[in-house]
Amino acid sequence: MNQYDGFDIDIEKLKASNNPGAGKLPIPSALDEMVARVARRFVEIGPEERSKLSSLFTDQHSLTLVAFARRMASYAVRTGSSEKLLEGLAALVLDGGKFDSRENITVMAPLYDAALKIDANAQALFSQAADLLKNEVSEALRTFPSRSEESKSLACMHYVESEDADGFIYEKIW
Amino acid sequence: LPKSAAGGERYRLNDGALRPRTKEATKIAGKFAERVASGVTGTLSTEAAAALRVEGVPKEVVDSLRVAREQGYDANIVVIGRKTDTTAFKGKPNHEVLDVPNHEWSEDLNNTWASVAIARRAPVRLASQLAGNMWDVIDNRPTVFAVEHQQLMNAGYKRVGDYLLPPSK
Repeated sequence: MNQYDGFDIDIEKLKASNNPGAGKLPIPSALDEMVARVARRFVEIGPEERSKLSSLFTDQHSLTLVAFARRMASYAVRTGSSEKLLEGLAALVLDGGKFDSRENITVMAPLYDAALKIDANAQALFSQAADLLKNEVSEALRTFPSRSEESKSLACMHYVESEDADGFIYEKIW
Repeated sequence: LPKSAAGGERYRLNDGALRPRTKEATKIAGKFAERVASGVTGTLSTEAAAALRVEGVPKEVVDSLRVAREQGYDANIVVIGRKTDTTAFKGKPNHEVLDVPNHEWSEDLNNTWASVAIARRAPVRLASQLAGNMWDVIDNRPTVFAVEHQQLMNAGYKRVGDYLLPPSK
């Protein structure tokens, strides 16, 4: 357990290798709740603290955070919650592309699409997340809404809309 | 196959290569191919080949690059892998990293770029280890790196150490 400014994070539990198949669990899962708590904290704290919090995470955690972001896009569509979108976007910035920023960029398409579906202000949400911390991912987030319609489409990043037992999901195709 | 990938839409893809799914990616890939191809001229000089060998590039790889150039392809040693690992190869002579602004990158473009490498019969450097970097265990899917690697393997590339070499013609 890591202590961060009076906030407990079980950083080991958030490693991708400790959560095989968790991306397919019903949304929200216990892991989603754990990551959401960290993402909300990341939004609430100041810039210096954000940098410290981000530094606790390594490339071993990246795919957990990327999967969470995709799941929050799906969850936002189901619930109409723009807060879930912001948590997903914040998770991407928290990671900052430590494994491979391309993985982070692909999931921006479902997050953007979800924002349109729930009539949220995508530009404002992406900018808010991009302002959290300066890194390669936040730079990509800032410019994402101004891409051409095609280059921010689900198809361009190989996502499709689908359904699971609980409702709408964004699914990766490969 | 044509001798050059420049122009994007004009080249044909080898079996196993992925085609862009959107017009936008095709357009960007075309511009990208023109940009990278413009920096390559003629055959691989003896000095350049020697420099690559001094840097530890295996003889088979240098030979493969020389053959591709002699056949008229605008080939460099294409570097694939996690972005955190490929960055170190930016600007290295006779190497080529997909280096597009973040606002242009898409998975579609990435696949197209790998197809450009295949069409140009370019030898490929693996900047990242395969172990631990190919599979997203959370989502049970291949990573972006794994998809580009698989495209090359589908096109008949063979592994030689940290490199992939195109099939013989």
